[in-house]
Amino acid sequence: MRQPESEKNDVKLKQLLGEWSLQQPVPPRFQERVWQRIEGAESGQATAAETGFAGWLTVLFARPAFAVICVTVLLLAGWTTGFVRANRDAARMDTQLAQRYVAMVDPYSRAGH
Amino acid sequence: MKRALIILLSGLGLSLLLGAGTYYWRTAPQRAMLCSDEPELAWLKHEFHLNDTQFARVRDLSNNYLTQCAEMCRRVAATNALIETEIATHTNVTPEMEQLLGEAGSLRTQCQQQMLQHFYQISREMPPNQGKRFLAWVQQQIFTMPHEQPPSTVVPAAHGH
Repeated sequence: MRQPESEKNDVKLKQLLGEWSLQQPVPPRFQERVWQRIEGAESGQATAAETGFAGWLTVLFARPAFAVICVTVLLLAGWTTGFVRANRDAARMDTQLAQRYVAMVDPYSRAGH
Repeated sequence: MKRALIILLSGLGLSLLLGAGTYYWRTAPQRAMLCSDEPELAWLKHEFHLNDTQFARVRDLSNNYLTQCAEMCRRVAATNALIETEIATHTNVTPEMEQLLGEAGSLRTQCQQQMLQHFYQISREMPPNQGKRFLAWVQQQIFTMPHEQPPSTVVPAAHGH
């Protein structure tokens, strides 16, 4: 006889939970903090290193925006270095080839005449 | 920490790959020219934007010119050898020496005329704006005295590039 009453309450509870909405604004980076706490709980006590530089890095890279910016900066640095060095070497090779052409067509540019 | 390291190392690896890729892509034409059978002519083709037909004509002209040039070189070397012998055996300028110096000068003039004729022929095979650019470049390289302008092999950029 008590079983139907309990089921009735469950239905009411579900209905109430469905209607319930959070009025309070969620604090900034709420989700990230929750995940950090979960990770912390999973890995046990924080080590001494994690509270120092490593911990700072972990916190920084936990932010997707920071990770994206960091990778973008690294990629830009790689591209720029490659491009600048390539331009310099391409110019050097062009000069070398131009000198060879001059030496080929102008006998007086070569030694011995 | 592990995640941060993975991101940093992946970023560095990708950065190195991108840098190397950019370098090889940007220097590919020059490396291909240096490895070709005729690097000097390959450079001419690349620098003055010749198509295959134009390049074939330029190559023929160059081969013809180089055959003439080799003959001139042989004559110049022979005259120079005679001048050296005259200089070594006399203590003053002799009529023979004067004649040989005159011949050497005449050979030089002929050589320059042939060379200039060759440059005009080459320039005519090029697209008009590239032909003008080529003539300006050879003038700077070959017909400008060293004291007039410091030597530079940099080719002036074409208008519109």
